[in-house]
Amino acid sequence: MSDQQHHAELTPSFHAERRNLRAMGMWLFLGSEVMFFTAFFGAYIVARSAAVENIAHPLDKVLGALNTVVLITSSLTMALAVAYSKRGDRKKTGLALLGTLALAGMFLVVKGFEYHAHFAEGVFPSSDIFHGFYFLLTGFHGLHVVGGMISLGILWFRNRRGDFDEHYCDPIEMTGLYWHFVDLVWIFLFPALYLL
Amino acid sequence: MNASSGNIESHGGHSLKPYAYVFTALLALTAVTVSLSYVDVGAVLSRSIGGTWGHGANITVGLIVAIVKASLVVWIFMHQDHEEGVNRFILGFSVALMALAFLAFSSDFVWLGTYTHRVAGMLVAGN
Repeated sequence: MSDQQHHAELTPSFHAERRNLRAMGMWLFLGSEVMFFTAFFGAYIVARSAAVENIAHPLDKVLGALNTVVLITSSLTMALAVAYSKRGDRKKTGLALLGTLALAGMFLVVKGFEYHAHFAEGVFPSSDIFHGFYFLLTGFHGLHVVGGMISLGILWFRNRRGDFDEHYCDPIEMTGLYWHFVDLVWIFLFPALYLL
Repeated sequence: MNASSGNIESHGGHSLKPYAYVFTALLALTAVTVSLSYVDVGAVLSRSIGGTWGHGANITVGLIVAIVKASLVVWIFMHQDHEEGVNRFILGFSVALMALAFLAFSSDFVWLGTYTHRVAGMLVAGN
């Protein structure tokens, strides 16, 4: 199959238009995701705002900060994967995708240790309002990380198979947008749950 | 910023330098947020400029830092600086709706403070 030849024959304006339409779809999807997290985040803020006098910080700040650094780094490797794929550098694209995948896995391992520690201490979502929101918000965020990892795995395979070149790498760019969004959610979750 | 980002690695349209800058800034801002969580910003403000500042001062500073970090990710990593037309509108509209929703949520603790204070008693078990 001569995917690359086929893509090269199409006009630049066609590539740009197709890319812009796909980006519009992804931004719309991310808009719906924003509202999804706004609902739970808003409920958490309402419950928390009244408790200003008696805030306890039951979470491990160090593990939270570590995971923040891990996700920020994964956002960097994702941005690099998109940039390399736009240059048609398949090898570097693959490495950057693998790096992003590994960092995503690392995030989930740290999160898993945290969850394990909670359960070992007998802390569950039903324990109190704070932990109800904590498990809800981090759980949904974690599911988004898992979804991203599946996409990244598929992309890595497709990149290795030669599906992408400098004319066509929309799936990598769109997954990149999604992955940065997952990082964005954590940028707000970390201070809201661990620090403030 | 694009004009000054140099001409190396310009093949493919984007220099990689901004990514490095943003990454460094994000790490630095994370360090700022974590450090500030060990400081009672409200007490510091009360001492230095007077007035009564509560925990809200910490929350405000933490929120501002988070918004700055989010803006960097959206603008540079997600290339919203190159996006135009309907794609930029969608982002703007989502953010506006989110702000509107948070404004509406805030009416709960602005006007129903007494009710929510009873809820607060059960916020963290054994507290």
